[in-house]
Amino acid sequence: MPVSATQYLIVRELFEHGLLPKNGALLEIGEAHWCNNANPLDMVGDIKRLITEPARRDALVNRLEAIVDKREPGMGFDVAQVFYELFFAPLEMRAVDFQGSRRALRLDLNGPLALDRRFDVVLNQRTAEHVFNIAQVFKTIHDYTTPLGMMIHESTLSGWTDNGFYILQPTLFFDLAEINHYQMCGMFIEDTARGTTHRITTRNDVYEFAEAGQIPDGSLLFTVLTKSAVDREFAFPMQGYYRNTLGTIGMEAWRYLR
Amino acid sequence: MAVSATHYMIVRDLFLHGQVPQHGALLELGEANWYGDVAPQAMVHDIQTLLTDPARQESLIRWLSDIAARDDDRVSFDIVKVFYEIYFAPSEVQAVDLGGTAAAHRFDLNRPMTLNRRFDVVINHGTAEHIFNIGQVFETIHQYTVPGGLMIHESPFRGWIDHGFYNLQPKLFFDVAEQNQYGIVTMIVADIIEHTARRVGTREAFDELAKARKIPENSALFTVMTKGALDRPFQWPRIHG
Repeated sequence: MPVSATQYLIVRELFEHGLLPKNGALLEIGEAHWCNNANPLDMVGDIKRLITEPARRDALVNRLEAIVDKREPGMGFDVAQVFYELFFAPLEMRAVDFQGSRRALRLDLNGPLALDRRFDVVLNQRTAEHVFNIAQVFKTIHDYTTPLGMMIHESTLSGWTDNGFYILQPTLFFDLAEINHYQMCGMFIEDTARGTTHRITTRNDVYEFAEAGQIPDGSLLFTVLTKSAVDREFAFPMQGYYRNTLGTIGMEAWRYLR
Repeated sequence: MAVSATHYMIVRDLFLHGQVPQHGALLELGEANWYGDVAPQAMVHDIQTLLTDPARQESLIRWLSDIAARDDDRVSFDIVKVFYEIYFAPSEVQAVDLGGTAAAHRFDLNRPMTLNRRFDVVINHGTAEHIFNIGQVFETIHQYTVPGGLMIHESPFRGWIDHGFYNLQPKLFFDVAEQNQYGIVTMIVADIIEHTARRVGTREAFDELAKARKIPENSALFTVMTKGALDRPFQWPRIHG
C-alpha cells in the first residue's frame, strides 16, 4: 500500500510535535511503497529542514537521489524506507507482506505471527481490510507493539467497493482504544477526491461530517494510537452503541446514518 | 436486528422458487424483531395464497391476530416467528443474542460457541458487522449449518457510517463461497432509502454496477448461500490479486 500524501503530512506533523518514537524498531503490516503520483524528491526539502545533523542529512539526500536516479524495479519500496528514516530513524525495520519486496516476511496475517521481538511503531497501511480474519490483525498489532509504542492505521472509510473484504468504521477504533487502554493521538478523514483532510477529535465529529456529506466515496480514515505503559492482553471490543456509552447524539446517529 | 420488507420479499421469492428448506431447524444470529414495514394484511394474504393446508392457514392467521392484540415487548419478536412459520415451517428455532428475548442464547459471538445441534437454516440478521471478531462469526455459521443447509446474510454495504464496526463487501461473500465450496443462491443489493432491490449474482455484475455508479448510497447486501454436501472444516479466504 502506498505512503499517501496525507499519511506523509500526518506523520510529519506528529514528528514536528515530538510525538514519534525515534530510533526504535518499526513493523509494517503490509509493506509500503511510495505513492506513484508524488515526486520522491519533494522529500528533500523536509530532509534538509528537519534533520539537523549534517552527515545524516546529506547521506539521506544522497540515498534518495541515488534511488531516483537508478529507477530500478521496486524503487517505490526504497523511497518509502527513506520516508521512515527521515521521520522515525528506525534501528530496525520489518514488513509482513505476501506481495512486498524481497525484504518482506511472507506470513499469513489470518493467523498469529511468530516474530522474535516487539516494535516501537507498527503501521497498518490499508492492509487489515484485506485479511478475512481481521480481528487477528488487530491482535497481532497489539501483541507486537511495545508498551507506549505507536500504532498507525490507514483504512478505507467510504466507497471503495470491493477493494477489500471490509470497510472499517471509526467506531471500531474508538471502541478498540477504549477496551485496550490505547490513547488516541489523532484521527483524520481524508476526502481523496477533493484532497481535503479533517481532524476527528470525538465520535460526534464523525456524525457531523457524515451528515454534512463530508465523508464521500473515496474517503480514507487515519488513526494513530499509542499503547498504554501497562502490558495487557488484547481484548475484543463491544461496540459503543451496545455498551450504551455513546450518549444521545451517538445513539440517534446510529439510527439515521444509513 | 429486524426483518424488513426487503428481507421479507427476498425470503418470499426464495420460497416461491422452492429454495427454502422446509421443516428444518433454524438458527438466528441476532434474534430478529419485526421492522414493521410489511402490513399485517400482506402477511395474511400470503398465508391465504401461498399455503395450501386450510388448517395451517387458519392456525397461522389466528396466531398472528393473537400477537397483534398483545401489547408487550415480545410482540415484534413473535411476529417474526410467524414469518418463519410461513416460509420455513421450522421444526425448531434457536437464537443467539446478548440482547434478545429470554429464549435467546447469550453467547459472545467473538468466540466459538457450543450448541446442541446443527441447523438447516442459519440467518445472520445484520449481526456480523457488530462483532469485532467477524471471521469467527462466519466460522460459527459454517460449523452450525448442516451440509446442504442454507445461510442467509444481511449486511451493510455502502454508507452506514458507524453503524457497525464493518461494512461488508461482495468480495467477502464470493471468496468465502469459493474457498468453502458454497453455492451462491442469490445476492441482492438493496437501496434501503428507496426500497429497491437489484439481483447481482456474479463478481462481474458487481464490477459493472460499480463502474456505472449504480450502487445506492445507502445500501445493504443480502447474500444467500448453500453449504456443500461434503462436511469440510471452515477455511479463511484469501484476497484475490
